[in-house]
Amino acid sequence: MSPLVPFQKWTLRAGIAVALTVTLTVVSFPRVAHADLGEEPKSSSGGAQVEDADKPKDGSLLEKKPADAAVQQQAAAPQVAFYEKWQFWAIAGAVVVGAIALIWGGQALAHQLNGGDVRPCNMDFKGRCFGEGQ
Amino acid sequence: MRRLLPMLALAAASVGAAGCNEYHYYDIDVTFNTAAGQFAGINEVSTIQVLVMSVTGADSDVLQIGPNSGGLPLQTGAHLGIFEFSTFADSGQLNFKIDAYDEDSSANPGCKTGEGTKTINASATITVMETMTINKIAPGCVPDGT
Repeated sequence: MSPLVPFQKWTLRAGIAVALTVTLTVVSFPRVAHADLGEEPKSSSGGAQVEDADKPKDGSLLEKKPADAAVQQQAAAPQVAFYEKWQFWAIAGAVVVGAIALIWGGQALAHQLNGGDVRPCNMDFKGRCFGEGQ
Repeated sequence: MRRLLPMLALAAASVGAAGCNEYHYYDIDVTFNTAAGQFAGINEVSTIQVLVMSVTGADSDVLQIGPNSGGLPLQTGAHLGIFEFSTFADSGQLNFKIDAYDEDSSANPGCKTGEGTKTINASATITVMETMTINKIAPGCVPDGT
């Protein structure tokens, strides 16, 4: 029996140790970790931090679109007072007419519920009519 | 619309609960009694200057006619004509009473010479026709002219 460890066992242990070492190294360095996640490593230079990386380099994308101009024009247009709109007067007129009709109709209904008009006094009675409604 | 319908139903129920008034008319045809021992014909009837018709019971009111109005004084006959009383009452009793005075300024109690009464059961009938006779009850203030 040889006192040496068998080659097969030695190779397995060495592989595990190497793998652990590499893994710990990768996890310990954030830059490397970010790079592995697909992010660009940030530059250490101070001037590059001021720049907006999201700003499109194509100038046409920064120009105002036609829709924005229309909205601005509408906002800049003078506001018309509510009482100068025909819709306001149409609604107000309808409300007034409706209120008058409601009052008149209510009074007529109440009058009818109270018996309506009394029968006119017959001419032959010579004014000898009395009682309710007379 | 779902809110409007219950409101309309409630309004209709309120109207139904409130009920409706309806006029009822009582036409009382008045004649002076000229039978024996009563008013002595047109000579005495023509002295009647004031009549007061009063109603009590289910409803109440008073009407005075005369002098020189409402057909007084009578010029011919003994038939004065119809008094029409309007009321919403359709139940209970209506007590009609008429007092005749032969004094021409007012209904002076001392000059009361005739009286008539009639009690009518109020009903849902629109027009109730009745007759009433005025009987002589006292000499009054004016000679009867006979």
